[in-house]
Amino acid sequence: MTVSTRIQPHRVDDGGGASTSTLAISDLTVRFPKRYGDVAVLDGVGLSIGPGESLAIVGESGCGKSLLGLAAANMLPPTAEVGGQIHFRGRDLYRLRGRERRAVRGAGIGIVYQDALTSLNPGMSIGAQLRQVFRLGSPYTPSDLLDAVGLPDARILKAKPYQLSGGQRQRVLIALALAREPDLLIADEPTTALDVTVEAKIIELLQRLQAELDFALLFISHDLAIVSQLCHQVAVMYGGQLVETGPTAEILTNPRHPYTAGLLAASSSLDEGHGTLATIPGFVHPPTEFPSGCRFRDRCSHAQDDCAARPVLTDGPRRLACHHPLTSTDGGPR
Amino acid sequence: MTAVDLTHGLDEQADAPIFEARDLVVDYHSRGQVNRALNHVSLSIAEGEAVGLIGESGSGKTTLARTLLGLIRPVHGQVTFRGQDLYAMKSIPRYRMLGRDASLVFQDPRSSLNPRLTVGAVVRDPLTVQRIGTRAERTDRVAALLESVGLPAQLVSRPVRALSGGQLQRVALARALAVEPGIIVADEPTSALDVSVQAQILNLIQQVRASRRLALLVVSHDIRVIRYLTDRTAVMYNGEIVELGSTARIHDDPQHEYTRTLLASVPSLKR
Ligand SMILES: Nc1ncnc2c1ncn2[C@@H]1O[C@H](COP(=O)(O)OP(=O)(O)OP(=O)(O)O)[C@@H](O)[C@H]1O
Ligand SMILES: Nc1ncnc2c1ncn2[C@@H]1O[C@H](COP(=O)(O)OP(=O)(O)OP(=O)(O)O)[C@@H](O)[C@H]1O
Ligand SMILES: [Mg+2]
Ligand SMILES: [Mg+2]
Repeated sequence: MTVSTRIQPHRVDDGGGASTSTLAISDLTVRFPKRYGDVAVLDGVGLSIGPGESLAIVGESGCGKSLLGLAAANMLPPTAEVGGQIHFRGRDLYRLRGRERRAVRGAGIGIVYQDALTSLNPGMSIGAQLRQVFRLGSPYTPSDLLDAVGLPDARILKAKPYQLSGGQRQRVLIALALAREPDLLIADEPTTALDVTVEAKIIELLQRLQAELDFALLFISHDLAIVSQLCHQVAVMYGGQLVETGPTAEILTNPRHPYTAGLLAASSSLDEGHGTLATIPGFVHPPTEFPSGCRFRDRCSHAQDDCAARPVLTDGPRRLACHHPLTSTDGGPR
Repeated sequence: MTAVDLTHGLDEQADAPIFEARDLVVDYHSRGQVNRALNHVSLSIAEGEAVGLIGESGSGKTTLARTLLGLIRPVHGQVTFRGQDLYAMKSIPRYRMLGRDASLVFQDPRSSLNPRLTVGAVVRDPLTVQRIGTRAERTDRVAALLESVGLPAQLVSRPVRALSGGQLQRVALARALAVEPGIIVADEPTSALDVSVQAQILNLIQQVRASRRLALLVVSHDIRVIRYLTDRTAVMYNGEIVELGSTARIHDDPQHEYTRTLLASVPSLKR
């Protein structure tokens, strides 16, 4: 794949002043009134990503990562009630209608869904599915696309999805998402359940394509090790709220939120690999059972009475929402 | 076949085997094409031993696990369970014997457990099927099992669908332990879980194994999980076991090229 000329991103006002973000989300709130009443399943989320930048969303299952990805692609289910703003290249995504909206969804934003392995058409050959996007305006032929994701084999074009291995299908999906040179790629857990050798190839591939095509990357994962290799910035979510964000290297070496530290400790104790592994006690509650104030407080060893009031997310390059953050001497995992 | 010293790994096991697979060949047929999923595979697992199975996607790990459990008839070779030739038995006595003594835990508890059943019904089911205990004894046993996997007693009447992924995998483990099996075969038991929940489940498995003699066959694509849980590791590649030996040895001194690639690809926080 070679880079083609692209429209420069518009300037947007994302609340924090003018910027040139590809994606700028501010105060995003999502509710499912029928299912969870007034509870905000995504609650006041704000973030932005520029061209060539990559942001990871991490957090345990049920924390709202996929919802955030769907919201950023304007693909939330109709039962969702959405508040706040999402600007894509300076345009309010939720104000777009008709053709414009379809154009953004089709060509501006590429998405690799979490349930990727079921999102290929089972009855259609891979070649036919790739030709479909070519007809819709991709500059790349089906074999260009397969080449770009490291699947040069002509056999793949003729194959139906079930005849491919998991890693091959995953790469086909990435090819489809990138086919129309999106400005934003949203990849929701694109490597879970792949063996590490295939996973490493996919991560390399994303890095290489991003360097070539300069898209903004929103990468959703619960694997901190993968995130540390791929993403410049990381946003940690718990219970639909951002709890800590900042440059990946800083967050991973010096976590300030006890939740971030807990995720890191669990991950690095498995790296060490003996004794009782570090865990975060308890589990993520369903939205109707979120505690008031800090939603993590019933699992948090640092929690005190004042955690019943919601901590404010600070501003700046490193943001944090916690009444009793760790100091750097508390360590976290080494 | 590649020349690999498989006797080395066999020497390291002390006890009598609970499972012994000899020279298994398994073929899948689709549209007149034959796909050889296991190509002369041998593996034995001793009483109380934990064995890991690692390897490339599509290399035959799940196929081997299912063949050991009497679910896929090999075209060649033999599986014995506590000395009995599985595929020489009729299917009903075979399932009966394995159902009492060998349990299976799947990767994704959400798709392997019936979402409408209550937690209690899921855990009780193998006891009912195997006609173990009286009604009252089964109820007590279910309560004890839930406690042993760290689930609160009131979950017993909750439908499975209302549980989180980590809670569900605990239920799956309680169900697997219900018949007090000699071995649990776990196919990717934690790969659908978060790191934090994964750590909870791995701790739990170790805790169970410390309290009673239980053999384990763990299939995983995560070498860290294998390293944490197992004594011996078999590495599969393209339908064959290409390396077999103590887990520590394989980790520190991998011999086969695929094993080396695998170890080199493990993502880590330390860079
Ligand atoms: N269509 C929907 N209707 C109602 N609730 C939903 C819907 N989609 C998600 N939710 C709820 O929103 C919360 C966040 O879900 P989400 O799928 O974003 O989690 P996640 O962080 O992606 O988790 P995982 O790691 O398991 O993919 C969950 O409690 C989930 O049940
Ligand atoms: N029902 C089936 N019909 C035809 N081929 C099959 C079937 N099940 C598996 N295979 C093929 O057999 C081979 C081994 O598959 P198996 O599921 O045992 O691999 P695995 O090592 O468990 O892989 P993974 O890590 O992806 O789970 C693969 O090439 C697969 O495509
Ligand atoms: Mg998700
Ligand atoms: Mg498998």
